[in-house]
Amino acid sequence: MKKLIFLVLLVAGWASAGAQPFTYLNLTMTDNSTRSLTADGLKITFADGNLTARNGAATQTVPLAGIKAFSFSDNASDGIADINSAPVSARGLSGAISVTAPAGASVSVYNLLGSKVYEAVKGGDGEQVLDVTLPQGVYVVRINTISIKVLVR
Amino acid sequence: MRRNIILFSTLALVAVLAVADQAMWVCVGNVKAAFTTAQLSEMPLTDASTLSVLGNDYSITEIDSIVVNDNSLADNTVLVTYNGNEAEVQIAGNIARYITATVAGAHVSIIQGDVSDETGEVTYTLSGSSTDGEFYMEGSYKATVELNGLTLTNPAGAPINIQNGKRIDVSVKKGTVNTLTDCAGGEQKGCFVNKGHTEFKGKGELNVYANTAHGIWSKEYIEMKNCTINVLSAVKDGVNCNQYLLMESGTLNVSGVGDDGIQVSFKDDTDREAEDTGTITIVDGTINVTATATAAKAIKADWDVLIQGGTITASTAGTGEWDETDLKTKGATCISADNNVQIDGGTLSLTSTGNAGKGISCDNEFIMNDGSLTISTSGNMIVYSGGTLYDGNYTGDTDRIDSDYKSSPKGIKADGNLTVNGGTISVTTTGTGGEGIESKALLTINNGDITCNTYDDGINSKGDMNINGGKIFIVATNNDGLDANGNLYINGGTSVVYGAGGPECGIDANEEDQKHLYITGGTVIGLGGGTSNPYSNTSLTIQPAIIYKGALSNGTTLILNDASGNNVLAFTMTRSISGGQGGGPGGGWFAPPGQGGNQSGSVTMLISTPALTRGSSYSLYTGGTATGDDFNGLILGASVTSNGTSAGNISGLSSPYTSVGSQQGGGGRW
Repeated sequence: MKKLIFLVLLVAGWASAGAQPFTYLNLTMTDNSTRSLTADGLKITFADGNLTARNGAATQTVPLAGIKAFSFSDNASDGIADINSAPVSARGLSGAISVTAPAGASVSVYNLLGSKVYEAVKGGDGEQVLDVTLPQGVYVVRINTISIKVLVR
Repeated sequence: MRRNIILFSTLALVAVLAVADQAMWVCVGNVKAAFTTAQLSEMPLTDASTLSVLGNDYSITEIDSIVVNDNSLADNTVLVTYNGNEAEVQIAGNIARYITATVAGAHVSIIQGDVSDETGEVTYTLSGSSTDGEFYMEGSYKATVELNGLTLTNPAGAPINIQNGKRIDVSVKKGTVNTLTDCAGGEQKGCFVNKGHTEFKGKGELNVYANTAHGIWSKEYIEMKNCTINVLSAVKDGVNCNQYLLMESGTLNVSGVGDDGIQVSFKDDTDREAEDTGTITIVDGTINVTATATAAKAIKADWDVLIQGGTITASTAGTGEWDETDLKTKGATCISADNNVQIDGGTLSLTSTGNAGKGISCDNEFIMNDGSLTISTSGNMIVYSGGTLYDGNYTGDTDRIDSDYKSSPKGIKADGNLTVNGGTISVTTTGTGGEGIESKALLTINNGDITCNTYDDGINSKGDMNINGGKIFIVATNNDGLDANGNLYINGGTSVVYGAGGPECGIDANEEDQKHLYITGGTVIGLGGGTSNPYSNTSLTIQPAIIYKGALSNGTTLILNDASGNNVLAFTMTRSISGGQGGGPGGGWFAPPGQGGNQSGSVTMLISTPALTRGSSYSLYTGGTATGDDFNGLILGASVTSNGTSAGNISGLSSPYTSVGSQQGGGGRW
């Protein structure tokens, strides 16, 4: 019986010694920074000089000109959050909305009727005033998968 | 038992848990490469336009998408899936840099680069169906093509066309049925085309419909095992290849062809490679071939046909023809070899129904060592005379027509020596000129069981004939039973031979040309209108013989006893011998008179057996009854119930023979 168990464990070990899936597809940028994309279920397309990465409902667009290489890794890049974990925020201004999010984040603005009044891909990191003039009122700002309600004065 | 159940269950669980590897798919139209992520190092993006993946450079503009999932492909595999008007090609990432795939609708073109020996051979798995598609491949390396449930029709050419010029394994996957159909009026050499060596294997089924040329064409050799291949129609040959064909096992069915069933040719005329043998070798398996065209061959080799086993059923139905190129008549043949035919085993059933049709024809030697061979021909002789081909209806004297201008149906014809060392041969011919077994040179029977029921000669040799052993039974209804145009040596075996009535003989040597019949052993009963007389030879120990002439009809038993009344042999006629010319002028020029024909019902019977002793006395009776171990009416050392009526006595048997019975009526023939 012991021999039987040993044999089973040996075979199981052999079978599982195949490659383990990587967690991330990392983009090495031209400035030597790195962006991490969750690998499992990832779909990448190219258009208009951009790379668009989709994973479930999450979407991130990165200009191709800034990418130097692709590689798979189990580790996310240092200092750069992945497409789903970067901190984001939004606040209402006078006639405008300001959004804080990493570059490449998908930003959409909806009025209370559910109509989309603005959509863009954020071009840079940090806070940015959206390039749209909005009437006074309550709006929902969607940054990637996160929704934030703001009041435009 | 419990431990085994635990073991197997656990192993099964482990197998399930060992999931496919993570893969990155680069999709370019209907061509998708799956790169196992564990095999990928850094993939540079150059000038924001070219992505390099494991030696493949992709233009960003051509990539439809990149997908990461756990659906990897095994290394060295290419999957081609046909679906109506489309096809998709999936390529394992480790070989993607060697494979250039182009897909237009359901037409797939593969250019395979030089795969390294370290990488190994690529396997292409074809599946699905399309009525307008193809798989075309070129390259410089060997490969495996798997047919995994493929139904493919190409209205513009061959559905599978491989131009690598290398060895291609064609694996017909077990449990699958695959069907290939090509177009009519095309330029392709076959429905399945391979410019290199083709090795068919697998336990599946492949059906081929060829509308332009051959069913399966291989520029170099074909080997086959396990699978079932059905060539169901072809404008030309069913299977055509160069170098050689080797069948180790499996089933090959060929029918509906416009020319030969299976043809193997030399690849080169001179400076041939070692494997360019022009030979068909059947080790085992089942072959069924039908060829119906004029002068077609069911199985044809530029050199040898070697049969070691298996079951072969071949038939031809076409009539013969006059070949304007070779200036000779030719007939359809079941097995044809431009050199030797050798049978070492197996079961062969050959049927040729057309005029001049043959079972086996070879330009050199026929050798049979074992196996079972059954041949039937039913056509008549063809004659080319005065610019006209007489297709089985020539009424003139054919004896003086050159052999190139006439072709008779035959069971076995060898232009060289013919040797039987064992096995069982049964030949039946019913048409005019139909001979059983013929050698244009030396014919030797060392062993085996041979039965010939023939219209013309049962066994014929142009040179000497040696009967050294075996069991021979011949019924030749219109000519000689054994006919040697040289000397005829009976040295052993047991032979019961019926020839026709006079002037034909049961046993006939070419006495007209000073050739003779020599009996040194064995048991022989020769019956006919006449017989060659046994001859003396001081260098041989001649076994004495008795020549009996008398009325012997079907059912009559002749009893031969020694001086003490012990039975030497009993022989019961199993047929009557009709015809005969009963007397006439003596033998040919400068030849001694042969034993001439007798009146209807009167037979010339040659008897020789080791029990006969020179100088001894014997008694012959007819109408007796006897029992014992019977070989076509012959019983040696029979248990005699009744001797019957005295037919003659021999007081002091002479060597080489003593005649007894009714007077002969003149003799011989010229």
